Amino acid sequence: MNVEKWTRYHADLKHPYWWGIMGLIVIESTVIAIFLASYFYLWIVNSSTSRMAWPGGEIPSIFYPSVNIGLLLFCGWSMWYGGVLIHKNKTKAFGWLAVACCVVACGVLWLRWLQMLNLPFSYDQNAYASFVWVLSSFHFMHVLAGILGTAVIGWFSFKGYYTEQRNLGVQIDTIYWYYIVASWIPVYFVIYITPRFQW
Amino acid sequence: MTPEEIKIQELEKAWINPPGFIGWLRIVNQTNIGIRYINTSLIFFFMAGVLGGIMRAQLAAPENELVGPEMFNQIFTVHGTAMMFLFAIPMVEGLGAYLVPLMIGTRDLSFPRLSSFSYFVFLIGGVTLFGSLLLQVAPNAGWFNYVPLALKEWSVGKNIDVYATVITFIEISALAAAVELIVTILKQRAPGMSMAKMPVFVWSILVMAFMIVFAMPGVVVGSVMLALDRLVGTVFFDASVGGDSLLWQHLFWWFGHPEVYIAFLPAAGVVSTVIPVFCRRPLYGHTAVVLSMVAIGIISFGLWVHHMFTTGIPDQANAFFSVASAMIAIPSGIQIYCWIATLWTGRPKFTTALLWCMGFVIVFVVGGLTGVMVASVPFDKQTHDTYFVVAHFHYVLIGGVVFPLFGGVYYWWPKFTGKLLNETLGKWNFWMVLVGFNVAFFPMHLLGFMGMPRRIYTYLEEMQWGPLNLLSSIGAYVLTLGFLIFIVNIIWTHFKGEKAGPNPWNASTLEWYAESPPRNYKFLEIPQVNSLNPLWEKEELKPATIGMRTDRREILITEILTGKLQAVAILPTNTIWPLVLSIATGMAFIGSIFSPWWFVGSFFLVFLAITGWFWPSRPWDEGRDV
Ligand code: HEM
Ligand SMILES: [Cu+2]
Repeated sequence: MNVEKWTRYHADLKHPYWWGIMGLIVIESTVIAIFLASYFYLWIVNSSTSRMAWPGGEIPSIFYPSVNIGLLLFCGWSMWYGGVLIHKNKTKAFGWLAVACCVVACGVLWLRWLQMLNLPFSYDQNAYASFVWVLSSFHFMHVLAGILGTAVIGWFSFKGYYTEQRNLGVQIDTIYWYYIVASWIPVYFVIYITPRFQW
Repeated sequence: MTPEEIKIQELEKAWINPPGFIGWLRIVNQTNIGIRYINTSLIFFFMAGVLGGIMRAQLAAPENELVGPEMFNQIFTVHGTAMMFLFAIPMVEGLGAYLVPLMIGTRDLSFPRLSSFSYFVFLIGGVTLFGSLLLQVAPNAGWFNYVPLALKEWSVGKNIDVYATVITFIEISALAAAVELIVTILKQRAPGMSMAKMPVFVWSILVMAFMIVFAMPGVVVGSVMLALDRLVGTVFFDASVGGDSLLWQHLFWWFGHPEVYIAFLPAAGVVSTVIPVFCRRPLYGHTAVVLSMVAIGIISFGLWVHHMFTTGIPDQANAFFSVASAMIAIPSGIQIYCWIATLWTGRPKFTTALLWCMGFVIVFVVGGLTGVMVASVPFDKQTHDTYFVVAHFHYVLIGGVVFPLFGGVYYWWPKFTGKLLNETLGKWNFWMVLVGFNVAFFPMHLLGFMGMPRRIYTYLEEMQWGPLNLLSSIGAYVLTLGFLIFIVNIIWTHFKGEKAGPNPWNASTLEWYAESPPRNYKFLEIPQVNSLNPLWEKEELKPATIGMRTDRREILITEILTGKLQAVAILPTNTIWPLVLSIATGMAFIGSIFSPWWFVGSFFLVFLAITGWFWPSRPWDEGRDV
């Protein structure tokens, strides 16, 4: 088969990077799944041995975390729509959407910061508090990484690096944003919602 | 120049390794990185082996005073940790990194820069661990590092902080290598190599890599929690405020049990490759062996609680995990049956490589039998934490991992270096190790029955453990001498070794189609593969494509299941950024032993390194097909 004329610009499943980012996501999802499993493990152990009533103290307000879901969804949408535009070679428009994504994501960080300052407990009060602190900060780090990465990508798009064919970096960054958004939902549900149920 | 010579010249230039020391740090080529992995993990193996020798010297006689209790704790912990994290895993990943691309007929791993990164992370982590031993602040709570002993209250020094941070750090390297092995195997096989035509060794690496992806996060989460409990003050393991000590054990063994198979499966892959070659016939029951590997990979995630039979968990749980543990004997047995059948029906040529593999079958069966014994709860309650267990896992680890890996090293050495290792020295190497190993470790079964606990630095004469311990220590030195012969063999071969052609064993898989040692571009043309044993077919291999460019690093992408040609992709070239990134990551983890702010500061360095890594170099082309 003669491959001389075949394109070399792949930004989809035909490029190893696409699979690489999936690998990263699978690993990180496993990390989160194991964190959440540990959470339930401690809950069950504590209630079945009556060591401590779970969550063992006050439950934080869900106002900021819920607003953040909305903001994160916007980030995911802006990256998705940016990808649509870049396929039409509207790279400037994409650049502005990347900027919007970064700005809104900074809002996420700001709200998260406010929320952490006002938590009704410190991380050493009980195991539940440790989970809230660690998982929220872990996700904070991811949003921060997303912002930094997207800033670089936005900058390159203004420089004219990306085209309707050469946009692998955009695709990878977008997929990672989907992950940042999607991973927040189970974490949110487990650490902020489940303790409100009285089973 | 003929067109072919021009092509070779262009490929040489596109795939060149930069010269000099700085150049060495920038190399990303998979065969170089693979060799680095293999060499470094062998060095760590010898260093950890020396620690084993020191322990045996200390235990050779009752009330010996060679090393004191605190030092002994550090020594066995570093021995175990290094053998598992710095030898077993990196050694199999290194073999994979070297062999997989050659065996599947591609020119490099999918993420060449990531290979370089994961190597440097591994190196930095390993040096830190051994360095901490020199400074006498090495981890000292055993390789599985149980809490509450490992919590701040009971382990005040920095020792356990080294464990908690360095382990997570090294896992990054193992995980990165695993992802890249998976993607390479799934997407870069030579056209025509469907899953069914994929060599059994590649299968074993694929299963291993998937296991790493799902197992390692367990110990990552555990050691992150531990580091936070110790360094920041969270309370995940503090039972007085809702934490739990057994949580650590669950997290650790979620990883720790599969870990044994992570090391063992590639070893089984080596055996399944070497035995058929020297029996001059295809592997008996190829499909059964592959399916057993997959089955072992899956079942091994359901066994971890058998390490916790004596922790007071409910009897039903014990019963379940006991049965599950015995179940893994079934796929293991199938494999052993296929190897014996291959030997039985072939015409074996007893080279050193084959001897190691046969030695493996015998030793591993003994280890497997004691494994079935400790899988039974009442038996385990008697022998838990005694030398019986030490004997059991060395039979499995040395028999099941070290033996086949040495077989593999003898087998692939001519590919690595272009020279055949000396067979006479090789046979001395093998027999000394086999005899020394059994003399060293068989008596430990009996010592366990006599009640000798593991992890004690000395014992009283009245216990009557002296004679068997002395015998075991003598065995350990015979074993050590045996391994030294290997080093002699390497040196001898370097100067006097016989030259190997591309395919000295007349083997059937594609790595033997490349030169020995392979060129950086591995294959002049990517071949079309139509069989499981392509080099044993009558027809010559033909190029799969024309029109791949030779002035840059191009590879072929194929479909996952069928191996149908799908696309051409371009790989990145040499760079210093992976080294920078590994140093930045190292600062984040190792620095956090001293202050969490190291982690925060290094986060931004990590970002800078990643940006540099992906920075597209000028001049940019149009960015579209014209
Ligand atoms: C080279 C020859 C070796 C010798 C002489 C040796 C000797 C020993 C001894 C005496 C102990 C028991 C320490 C104690 O409980 O007090 C031990 C523990 C251990 N060994 Fe080895 N060993 C060797 C090779 C290996 C290999 C190849 C591996 C794995 C690939 C390995 C993995 C371990 C582990 C995981 C432990 C448990 C450490 C702990 O208790 O935390 N050893 N070894
Ligand atoms: Cu196990």
